[in-house]
Amino acid sequence: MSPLWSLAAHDLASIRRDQVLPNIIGLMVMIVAAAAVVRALGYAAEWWTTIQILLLLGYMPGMGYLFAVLIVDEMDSGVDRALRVSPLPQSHVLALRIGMCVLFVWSYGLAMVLATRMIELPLIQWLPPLLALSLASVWTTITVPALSRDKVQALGLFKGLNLYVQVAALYLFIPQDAWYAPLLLLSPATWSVKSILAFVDGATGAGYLWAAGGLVFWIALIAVSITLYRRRQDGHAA
Amino acid sequence: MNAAPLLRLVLWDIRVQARERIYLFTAVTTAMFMTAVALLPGSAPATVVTAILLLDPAVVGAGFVAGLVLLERAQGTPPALAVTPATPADYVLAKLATFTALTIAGGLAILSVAYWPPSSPGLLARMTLALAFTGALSVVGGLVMVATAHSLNHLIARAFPVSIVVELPLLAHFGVIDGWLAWVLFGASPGHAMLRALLWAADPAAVTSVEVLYAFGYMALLTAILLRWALLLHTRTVGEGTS
Repeated sequence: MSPLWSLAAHDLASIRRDQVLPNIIGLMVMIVAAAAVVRALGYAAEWWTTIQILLLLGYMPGMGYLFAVLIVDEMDSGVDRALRVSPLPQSHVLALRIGMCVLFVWSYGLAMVLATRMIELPLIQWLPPLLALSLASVWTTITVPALSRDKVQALGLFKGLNLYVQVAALYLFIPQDAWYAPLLLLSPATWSVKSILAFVDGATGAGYLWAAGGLVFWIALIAVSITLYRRRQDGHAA
Repeated sequence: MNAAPLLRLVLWDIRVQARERIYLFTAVTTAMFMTAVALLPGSAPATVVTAILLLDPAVVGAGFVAGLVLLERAQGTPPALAVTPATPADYVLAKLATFTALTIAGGLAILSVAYWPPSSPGLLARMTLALAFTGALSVVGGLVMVATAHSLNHLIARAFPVSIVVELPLLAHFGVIDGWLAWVLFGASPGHAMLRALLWAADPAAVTSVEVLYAFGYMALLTAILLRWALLLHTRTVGEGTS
């Protein structure tokens, strides 16, 4: 088994430990099932768009936090130092965590929207905004260990990062022409929300543009976090 | 119980919480919630403000106290505590006092934005009472959840279903499910009692006196049971530390 696959297997074993993964997957399945039942029964139809977007926003940072806790645990227990002297380049380790996170979150997001059908869009239109939103998880995964010293700080920081993503939900409830509405664009999650709403309105070009903008925004934030994370790792190694 | 070790532990906890930036993180998240509340239309009902309180500010102690206990365990605090005059009850009560105070402070800060200028002198007293109950219940809940948790991952695994149970009564709060069905489905959830208490604090006319009795009575009962449980579990932890 290649070192990278070994690390992937180790990560999955760590997440499976203590029943974390079964609990989370169980909850995810329950949420999708509940939303699908509400949709099938035709209940609260005027809220479907809002419910779907809230569900999407709700789980993204949480999944990122799960991967972030893995890294914080490694920092606490010294496993990160062992990884630094392993044959695996640090960039590969980071890329693996980012890849796993995106794969898990993006695929669940797609499964959710296709199973619940609260917003009916072609698959091709779902892909860009969901990819952008899934980067919220990646950002959380890297930013938490980059800025927190231990588990308590990781928890506190996550609350702030989580709110930074969830604040996009406000866009669904405020008047679109309010003077403060553009302030919500300071969170890239709002760009994905605007992308989905544009697709719903049939403004395909705007939908793709908002999603692309959100992607670029997230990538910029992630790049900053990666720099901070690496600087911190280099500081520990020195 | 001796008051001096308890007071010293309270002061020590405050220092540790400041060092761990818990106050900074709470100030930041509270500021974000205050901004969200400030952006709400003036006609927003009390149900919205109280729902925002349940999302985090009214239960802020649960996660932080659990994280702090895990950290202290990793740093060997329980065995160190065992050779001091402080008892496990002091350890638990110090955390209960500090995090409940933090809950009240954060909640009132949000309230000050939602109801500025304060419409009645009773509002502050009612909301302080309600936040004291929600804060204490969430802290003892966090202490019980973390007592036998092996890791932060283990804690998260426990916290996920608990948070769902606590937040599901929002469906009744917003009238999606109402009547007897709401009580059957959510009556046993601490979240339902918390929401009733917070709603009473914000708008006494929106809640019947029976509901107020249920809300505070149920929270008091749960807090007493969980506090007793937390004391038993943490006494065992400190005991293990001395062996």
